[in-house]
Amino acid sequence: MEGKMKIFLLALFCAFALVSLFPLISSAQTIAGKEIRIGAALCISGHGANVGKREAIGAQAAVDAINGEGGVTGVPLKLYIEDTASNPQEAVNVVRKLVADHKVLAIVGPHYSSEAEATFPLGNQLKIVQICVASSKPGLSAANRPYAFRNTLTEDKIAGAVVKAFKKRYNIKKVAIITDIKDAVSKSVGTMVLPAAFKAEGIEIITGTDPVTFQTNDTQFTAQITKLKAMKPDGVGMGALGPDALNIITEARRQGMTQPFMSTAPIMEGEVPQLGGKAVEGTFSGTIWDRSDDSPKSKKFKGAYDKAVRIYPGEYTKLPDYYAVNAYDAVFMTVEAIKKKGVTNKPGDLEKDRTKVMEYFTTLRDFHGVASRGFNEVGDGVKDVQVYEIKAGQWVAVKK
Amino acid sequence: MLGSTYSLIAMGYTLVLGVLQMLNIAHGDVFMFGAFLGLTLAFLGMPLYWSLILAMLGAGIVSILIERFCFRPLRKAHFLGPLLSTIAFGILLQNVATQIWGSEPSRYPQTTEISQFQLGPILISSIHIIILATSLLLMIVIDQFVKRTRMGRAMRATSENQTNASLLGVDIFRVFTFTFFASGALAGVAGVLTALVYLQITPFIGIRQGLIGMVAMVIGGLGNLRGAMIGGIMLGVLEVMNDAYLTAGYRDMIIFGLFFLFLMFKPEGLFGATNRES
Amino acid sequence: MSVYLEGVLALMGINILMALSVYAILTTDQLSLGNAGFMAIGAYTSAYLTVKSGMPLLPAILVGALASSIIGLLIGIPALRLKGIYLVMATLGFGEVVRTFFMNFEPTGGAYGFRGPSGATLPLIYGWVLLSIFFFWLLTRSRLGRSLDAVRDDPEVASTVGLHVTLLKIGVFGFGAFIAGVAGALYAHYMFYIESNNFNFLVSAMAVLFVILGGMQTFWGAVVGAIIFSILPEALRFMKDWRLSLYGAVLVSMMIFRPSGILTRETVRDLGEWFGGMFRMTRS
Repeated sequence: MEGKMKIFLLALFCAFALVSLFPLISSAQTIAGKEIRIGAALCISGHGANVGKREAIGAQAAVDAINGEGGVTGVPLKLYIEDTASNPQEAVNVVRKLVADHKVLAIVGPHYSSEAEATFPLGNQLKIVQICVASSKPGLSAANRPYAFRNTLTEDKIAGAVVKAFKKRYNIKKVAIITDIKDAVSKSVGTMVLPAAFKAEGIEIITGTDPVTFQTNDTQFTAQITKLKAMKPDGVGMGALGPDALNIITEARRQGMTQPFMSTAPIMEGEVPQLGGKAVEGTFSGTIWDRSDDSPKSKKFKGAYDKAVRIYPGEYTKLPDYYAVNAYDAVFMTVEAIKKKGVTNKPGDLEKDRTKVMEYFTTLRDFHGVASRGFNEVGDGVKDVQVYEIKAGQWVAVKK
Repeated sequence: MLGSTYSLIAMGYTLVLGVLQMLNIAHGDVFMFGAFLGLTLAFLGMPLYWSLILAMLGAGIVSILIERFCFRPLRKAHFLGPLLSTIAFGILLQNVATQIWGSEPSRYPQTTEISQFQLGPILISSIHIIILATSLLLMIVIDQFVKRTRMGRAMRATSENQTNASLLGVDIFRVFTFTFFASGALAGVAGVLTALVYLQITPFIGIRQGLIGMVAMVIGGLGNLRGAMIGGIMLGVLEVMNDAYLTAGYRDMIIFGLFFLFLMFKPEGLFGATNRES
Repeated sequence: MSVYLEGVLALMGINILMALSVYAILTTDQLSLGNAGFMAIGAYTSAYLTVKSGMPLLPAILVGALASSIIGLLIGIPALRLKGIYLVMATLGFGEVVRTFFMNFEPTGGAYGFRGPSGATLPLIYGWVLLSIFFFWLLTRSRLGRSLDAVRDDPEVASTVGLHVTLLKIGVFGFGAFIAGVAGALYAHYMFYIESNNFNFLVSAMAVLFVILGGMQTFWGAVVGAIIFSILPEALRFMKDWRLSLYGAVLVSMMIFRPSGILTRETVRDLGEWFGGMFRMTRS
């Protein structure tokens, strides 16, 4: 009897031991440390102060939302925001600071292509992921594999969709192009992206390989419009930023041009519909997210953004833009990487953890963000494009 | 016409250069501040003439601040001390403006009706005429002021020789204050006119506008008010011609190239410099 | 060493070289407000050579700096007839012409910039910094240095004593341009990417400010000025979005309260004696 009792107790003990060891054997994640650190290298001062602050708020909104739901297995996120002053040298300093002093797992930012051109190679050297949420200069991520990512849609994808819709609406057969030759993105849109998109739709380009040119923030466009008017196009394609597009179209209407204008994502900023009045009605553009989007995820973002505005309150940060959405999604993508790749957050594993994030992003194709699906094989964002036109002082989505 | 705003800026530079033999690099940023003051006043509902006058006063005051912080304390320092100090002051102005008005372009409310006609590749609108007329008026006012009034004579005496002028009883410090005020006021007017017609203004428009104003001053002849005015208009026309017949990329190269060549080979400008150093 | 500290020191080293390039020309009482132009020439030339022609870094830096110094000498010639404010404006114009040139010049990227240079390490940068400092130190002890002082203090007397004022004034432009060219080459190979806007008027202006605020009487002033004002923006980060405004205000205040700069000739002499005294004490 005693012997059997002993065996029974032993068996019970073993069973109990196995059951209590089970959590350790299984692959449940334990995050070490008291916080998960994410960095943000954004423009809080300088030329990009307004946009950079909004991006920071977008990232903070994501951090708040995730922490509100308990963080990652109970460990909260902390966002470290550092100012790049819209300047490549500062951007480089700031990335180094986030990596060395704040020991972050990934960095949201920088904003400008000129900053990213310097920080992306650095990120490869330091082995940390950067998710730039604005730059759309072609080829930038491709030249900086594997740690460089841009949660933006390159202009060629947007141009394709917009040109198609533009052609259909206005029956465009021949087009003239006017382009900025100082801003790199606008220049590439005007000299490479739009011509290719027009050609693909069989539209004749009157300006050929010599578009009408101007410089960013020019104060007058009289000569340029006179040239465009004389060409008598069906429509005009612009490689321009919002404020310049606004002035181009205004001047065109002043000189009596009635043709419609189109461009890609950059002109969706700068309040073109609100400030342009009747002149800009019917202008076409496209982007990945607009404030009028009322899907559940978008609403959740907008709610979180309103609360996160507290970090940079003010007139110019009240309303989010699609850059802020990209930043918001970027944080969620990073957290998904942390969860799915078993990041430990232990100080000794810092380099391994950062590389795990990079590996996850490299194959992330089906993320379900507000406006993000993941990254393609060269590190640029995968997103859906929505074409918009200006109607009654607003950007209104064009039905497919 | 764009040239007229360059003229006003160039005239402001010329006043300070003439009386104090020094460049105020922050002058372009005074122009920017004037534009923003005008914008703020317009949004408060003020009619154009009032916002123009108040912006002029405001810009003049900012200019006096520059005199007080960058010029007066540095009279005994290296002769280029004030110039460098104004560079730093310009940084300060740009960043304060960014904090107040944001880094993105702000648009001036459209209030006036415009009509227009064509002159070659140049389209002239009624607003251009207003600007040209205002600039001409101001130029005549300043020109006559310097020639006929007591303060004007004091300014001329100070520009000839500060020591002699003060020995003759001129309060040179009052002259400095007034010169900077007038210079700033001109820049302020240019700022409001620019905001009114052309655009959107950002805290960084002063940088380029200031530099081009400096080029206009040199082409016109350093210290020569009329030269500055004509130089400004010529540059404005040059820019339009360049964009019409060449490409915008060459524009600044041509302008700064001219700047460099004039300084090297024709420093008295097109109309003769009245600067005592020449 | 923290990666962050490394980065701050690297840019500081480049700033020191830029300040010294301004100082070099200032030794003959000529102030150049366009050294960013020389920096750009050195940057683009060396970057093109390493990236497109596969030249190793050190020779590329030398060729870039040489190209820059040739342009410097060419600028020095017409500069002879300009004085004071005219020279300042002419050099400003030169800097802008170079910047707009590179904005248009397609073989080095034009508005898209130039990608690819790399390899500037901290030892390399400070190797050049120390070399330059050593060279300036030799200069203060040499006849050439005293000749330069004479040219600056009284050019007419200097020429009657037989000094080739003209050659010296042109020569320092070449020398200053060389140093700026080195700074530019190192910048390009540290930042991995350059574009014309990296060499704008503000860069030239800051280089001059470093010298004036540090003290233009000795070359140590340029060094100290560059060090302090490279660190200042980093130190002011706690000011968040007011950082740059405060930076401008500090610069203006410094000009008011210490217009002769941080280091004057007397201060340097005193510091030298003090250090020398300590050295002698430790030796015994």
